[in-house]
Amino acid sequence: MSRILTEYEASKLLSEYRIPMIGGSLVNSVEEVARTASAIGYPVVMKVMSPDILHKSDAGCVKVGISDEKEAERAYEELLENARRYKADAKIQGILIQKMAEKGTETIIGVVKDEQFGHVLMFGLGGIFVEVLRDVSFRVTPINRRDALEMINEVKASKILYGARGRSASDVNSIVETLLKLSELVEEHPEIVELDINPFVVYEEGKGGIGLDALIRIE
Amino acid sequence: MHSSESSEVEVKDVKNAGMPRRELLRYFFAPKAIAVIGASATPGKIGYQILYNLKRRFKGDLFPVNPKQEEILELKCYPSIVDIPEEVDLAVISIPAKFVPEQVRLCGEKGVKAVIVIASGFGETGEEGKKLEEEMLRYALYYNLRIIGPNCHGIYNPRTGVDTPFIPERRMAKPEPGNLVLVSQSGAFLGALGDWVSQERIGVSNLIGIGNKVDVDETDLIDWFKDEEETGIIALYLESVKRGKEFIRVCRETSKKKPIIIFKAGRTESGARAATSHTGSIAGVDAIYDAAFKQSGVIRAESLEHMFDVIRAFQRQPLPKGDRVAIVSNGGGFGVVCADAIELNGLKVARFTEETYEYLRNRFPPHYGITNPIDLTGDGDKDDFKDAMEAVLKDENVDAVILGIIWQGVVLEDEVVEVLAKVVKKYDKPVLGSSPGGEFSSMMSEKFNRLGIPHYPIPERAIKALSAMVSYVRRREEFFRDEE
Repeated sequence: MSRILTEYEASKLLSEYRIPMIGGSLVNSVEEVARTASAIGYPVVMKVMSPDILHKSDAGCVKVGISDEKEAERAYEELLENARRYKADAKIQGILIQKMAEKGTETIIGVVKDEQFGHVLMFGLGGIFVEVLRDVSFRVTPINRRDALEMINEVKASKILYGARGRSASDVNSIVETLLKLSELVEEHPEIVELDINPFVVYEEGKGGIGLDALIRIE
Repeated sequence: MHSSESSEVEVKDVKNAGMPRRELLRYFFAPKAIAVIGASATPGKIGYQILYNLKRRFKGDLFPVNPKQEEILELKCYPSIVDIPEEVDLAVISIPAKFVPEQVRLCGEKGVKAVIVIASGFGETGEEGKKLEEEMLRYALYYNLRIIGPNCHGIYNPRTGVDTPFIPERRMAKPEPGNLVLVSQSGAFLGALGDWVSQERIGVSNLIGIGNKVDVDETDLIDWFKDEEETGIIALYLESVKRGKEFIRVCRETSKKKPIIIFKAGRTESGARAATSHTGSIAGVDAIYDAAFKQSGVIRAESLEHMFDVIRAFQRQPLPKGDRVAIVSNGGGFGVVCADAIELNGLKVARFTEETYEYLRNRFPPHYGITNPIDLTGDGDKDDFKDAMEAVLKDENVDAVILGIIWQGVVLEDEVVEVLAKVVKKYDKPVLGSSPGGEFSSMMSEKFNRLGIPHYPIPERAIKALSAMVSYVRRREEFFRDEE
């Protein structure tokens, strides 16, 4: 038996291990939207939370750059409608409202449970680097700091993180820390068979990084 | 339920009760007495060949077991293992699969410590065979005995004379004693590899075919040979790894003491899995093996050829202390090819000290190349080679030397081989060589090999072998640093 944890649930677990996640608040009625969104502070992002809708963007279940109350309330209705159109009987936990994150370098950090080796961590840079070039690295858990750094450096695109072409260097240490904490997390949670933090956005050196979406499958 | 996790059996009437399962492995390699269950009196049968080979080599007591025979090869035959009056450490079972579990049980009753099951027809054939394996394993755990196999060739140990791969001598030359343990998941490969290392004069501590790994697996063996003094190099041909995390842990510990070289088949196996996540859909089986080997300090061979190239380097030469390589040859082109391959394989072309340059400048005519790579040209003779080699081996900026000899000239004497072998032995730095060319060059390469300087038909292979040594040394240092 396999079960999916939505971003909201997955983020909670990741946060318990002090992995920085954007988080957010779940709302279940349009009345809650304005209060919640202004508490978080505009601009906000709103997403449908459903274990039946995994690729939220493809299903029209994400709205970004929402800048006021009116827009937020309209987004709430639209998102629910899109979700129902995508899958009529989708189980919906609510609408997640979260702070709109600043731009940074997108990476993907994940875990898969392998038959022979158990949990294996993956790291790569977002977009074409992972999707097209499969420029990723793996390590079997548990890992140490040196393993984490090796994982990052093994990825060809990691040069971008170190400040290629006039860009400033990224906070590589925030990736190292996340990998280490993730290693710890899966050691204590053998039921996890797949996990994605995608994207994990990395900022300039000293400014950390943050996960903007996550998915966990447990068995 | 796995061997390494199960606690020692505490049952009173079990003869091996209380012996640590790791310690039981000793009886595979150095038993005092061996029984062959299924020994045959018919030449050409496996049960005959095993007994025949053991009789020729094994130094301890040997007992054929076969209820239909009185005597085989002048050895008294017993109807059952339990009828043997003496103690038996190792039993080799060569009978059809369906009769094997009962014989394992009898081995347990007898107090046998190690069992090699030769027969095939087990897990590799389907559910029925898997059940037989499970039954065997249950007995192995109940009676506290260890099993290698089934579906395997077992062990060849040139020192103790354990010799169960049922290969006639004229089909496979038996390797001499040495410091390599070679483990193969495939039986057929074990024979071929054994024959090959024998021809290459690579000495072995053991050849081991592990087959279906119902009990003893690669991790058990790596862990055992980590502390076994006659073994300095561990090489494996594997199709799979059984206990991944334990494998990594054991390999890390072992790599601190000796190199592990693995050729893993099935690189192209598609890693498609039913995945919900990005990570799951991207993570291929081979990529994970690659990561696991890196973490373990294992040297992953790209091919069988690469595996043996690396083995020869480790067996014959000291470990390098760094990655700076000198090239000494009598061919300008050879030097250029080497310099490229050195950079491409993560090594550095060494910069000599001023002292070395000055010596070389004074010693050699101006048309010789004296910056690394050293080019002794077609005029270079054995004394030139000797002095150039000595100069770079002395140089503190040099960690290893690639020697290149072009034999297609008139000046260089054949004796350069002996001269260089002597020089190389004086220094604690690895020297690997290459003599590109045809018949004559191969003959001279062979001579170099015999005298302890590994020689390869093309320089890239020498450099790749050296690169594996350097990576190993680096990894080992990292593992030691991790502990601090």
